[in-house]
Amino acid sequence: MASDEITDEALSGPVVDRRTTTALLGAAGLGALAGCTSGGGGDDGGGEATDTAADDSGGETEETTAPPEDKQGGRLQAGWFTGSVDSLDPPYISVGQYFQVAANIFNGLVTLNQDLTVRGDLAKDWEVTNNGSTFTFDLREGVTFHNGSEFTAEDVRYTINRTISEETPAAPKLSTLQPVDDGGVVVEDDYTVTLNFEQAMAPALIYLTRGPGRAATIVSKDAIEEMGREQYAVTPVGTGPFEVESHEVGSELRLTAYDDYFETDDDGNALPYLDGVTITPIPEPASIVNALQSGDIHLANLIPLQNVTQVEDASSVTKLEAPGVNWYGLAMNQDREPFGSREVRMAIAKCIDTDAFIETAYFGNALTAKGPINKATNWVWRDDKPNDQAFDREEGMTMLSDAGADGASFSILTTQSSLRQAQAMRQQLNRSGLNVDIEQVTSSTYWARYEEGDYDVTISGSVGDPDPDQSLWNFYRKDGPWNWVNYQSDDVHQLLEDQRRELDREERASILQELEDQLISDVPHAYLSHQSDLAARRNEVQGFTHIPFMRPLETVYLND
Amino acid sequence: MWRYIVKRIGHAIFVMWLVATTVFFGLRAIPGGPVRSMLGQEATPEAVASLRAELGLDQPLPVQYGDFLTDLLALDLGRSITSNEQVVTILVDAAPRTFAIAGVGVALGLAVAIPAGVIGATRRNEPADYAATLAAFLGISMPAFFVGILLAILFGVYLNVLPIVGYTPMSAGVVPWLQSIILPATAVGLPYAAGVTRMMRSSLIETLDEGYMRTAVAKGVGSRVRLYKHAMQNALIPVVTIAGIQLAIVLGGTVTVEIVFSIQGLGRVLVNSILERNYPVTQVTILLISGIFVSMNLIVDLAYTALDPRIRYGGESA
Repeated sequence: MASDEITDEALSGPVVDRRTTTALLGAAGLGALAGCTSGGGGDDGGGEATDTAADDSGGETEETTAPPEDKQGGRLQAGWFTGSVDSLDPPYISVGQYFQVAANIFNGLVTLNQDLTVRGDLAKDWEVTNNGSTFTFDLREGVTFHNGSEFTAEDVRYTINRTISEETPAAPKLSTLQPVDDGGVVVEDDYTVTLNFEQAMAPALIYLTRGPGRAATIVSKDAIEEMGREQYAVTPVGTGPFEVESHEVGSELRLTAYDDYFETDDDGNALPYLDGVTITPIPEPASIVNALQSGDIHLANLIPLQNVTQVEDASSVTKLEAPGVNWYGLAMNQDREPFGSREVRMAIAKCIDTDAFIETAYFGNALTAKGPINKATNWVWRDDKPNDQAFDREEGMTMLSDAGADGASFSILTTQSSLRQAQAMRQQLNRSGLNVDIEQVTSSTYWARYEEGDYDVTISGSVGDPDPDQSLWNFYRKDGPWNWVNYQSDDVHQLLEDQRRELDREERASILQELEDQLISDVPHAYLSHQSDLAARRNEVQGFTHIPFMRPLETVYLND
Repeated sequence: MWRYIVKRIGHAIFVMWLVATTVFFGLRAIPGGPVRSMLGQEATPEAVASLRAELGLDQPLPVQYGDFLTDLLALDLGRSITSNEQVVTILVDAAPRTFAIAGVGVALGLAVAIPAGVIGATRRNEPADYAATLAAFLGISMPAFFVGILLAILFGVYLNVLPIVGYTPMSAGVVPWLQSIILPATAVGLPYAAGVTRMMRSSLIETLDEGYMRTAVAKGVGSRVRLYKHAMQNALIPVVTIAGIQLAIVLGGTVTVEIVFSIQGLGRVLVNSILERNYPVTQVTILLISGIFVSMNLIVDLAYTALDPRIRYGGESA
């Protein structure tokens, strides 16, 4: 294999090849909008869809099968598996399902293709210099916001400055950017803008994508000043394919096609094809699937796992499935006995029959995880990961008894939404002679207790990890913000630093693999699963491109 | 009399204050706050702290409580923590949906329950009676939530004749409005009807056995007049009482039915706001609902004294 160094040239746009991109996705980590606190989780992934080939010749839009002339238009009724879409203000969004909507209203500087390559969005091209720490973007001209004002380089500066100065949840993604007013963002002219990072920042592009990136999803200064931040979160103004017509939070969000949207399909037809989209939040699992079958909605952004069979059996509905870009594991609080002992954690891991767990917990809709790195990140995935944690109940029970922890009593902290997983886990552990109960709390309580370390074990992980970096970076550094198992390893801490600085992709992969081996052997989590990404559409919905973590609707049309 | 009325109103205000206080401290006693639900796991501790300060959640509880009562008295109900909408706007949007479902549900329920009860009582131990009794038992044992899912599957998925998601306001036309609430209203109305049917039946049976009914027969009063004039009028008194008390069941049912049919009414607003620790919304919604119950009780109490001169309340010398 040729060596795949991330050179400045490879990073420059508009199309970055897949291998480079997957490497890039890493350091940035689209991952872990972890928790996806309330609202049913927001993991997803690919799926059957139209062909989307981002060829190397530099096409700026994805190839989509254009609908027949008479099929254009119409209003898509979409169901969102959540109680309400509370915020559409990109840098403030902390729930995957919300940015799945916002990415239809806004554009980033760049965006993702279906195969996770990066392509230009509001930037039509870019150049990387200064050993990877300077990014110069060449912006599209003639783009307007939904309120008619023109998009220029000033909007990029305003957006990034706002993300950082208002300490939004997305701000940490740009923590290595130089101060905005002191060289961080330089407006060269109306259509050229330069970002300067303090050090080589290979993952920068990921933070600048629409949807999962969010740090530089371009917002309208005029609209924010006119309506105020609160209202902007409900009825925002962007440059994207759809504009907000009305939004009754919790009830209905009506989007209308933006007539002056800049993007076209390969034949030059204006996008989006639809006239509009109505998004109804439907938090009840049976209801969203019934609504799909009855035709009340055309598309469900997620399907509850317990209803997958119902979707598969319905002739009018097609299931959309892709391997998930996530991982889940049993987090064991090392500040509580007996989980401080590596032997005990390993013994517990060996007592879990992950295949049976997945069958019960996810109705089989998941892949067994040996470590935290998921299969969608091809370049670093191995089929032959170490089997240290593999199921062997007999050995596990012997190890427990050697460590004096046989019959230990503890509880699994869980919320309603992961109760099923907790029950499947209890079953596994109690079969091994442990004495485990479940403590179910609301999601606010859950997060408060998890963060304060007020729990024994819980099922946790990262809901979206197109690159291993971000979740591992946050979970396993000694002072990592999500290190709630209190895992302290100098080696892992150092490896995490190293892989961020390593620009050679193969080298970086091997560092990450060494890191994963260490994690498998130290058992901060007993690794369990990579959950599949499931959505569903009615058969008349055509042209849907299922990009991981996103639900883009601009190429969708109805074929009644 | 006036003293009594003033006393009852004072009592009602005291109850409302008690509810407000209980809700205020109760909510804050549950672990977990709203900030983390809003910002998500990615937020830095600094961002969490600054939002807490912005929302006034870093103040000592007594200070927060004082602010809460002052705002309440000034009728400043605040904004939703999660969506930043005015709480008043949220409730003004949500309340008509809940009242529509509950109102149509009660009307449907009574329209079914009274005839069913009469049939049960007048054709005792005949097939019609067994059928009505069985249906009533089913209705009592099936919660509105479950009835709602069954109705959605039957009328939405199989027959595909009625919408099963969302609410259409009456301004879009009476027929679309009725279509959007007929299933949820039926779902809350049927369990309600079941209780009323059983009361109607037993009360009417009892009345039909009364001495004055035999007298009426002896006087040669026609069977229709006997039933609908003499018996029904008396039998309805306990039914009306039950029908009133059971309204609470209807309102409770709407909470779950709103979730099934994805209608953003008071119930769903309340449940979501509690789960998200959206303090302002939870507080005001509970106050609104308890306000409705308290004022209904007040009106009923006052109405008794007006309607029935035999009812006298304490404090007045006989």
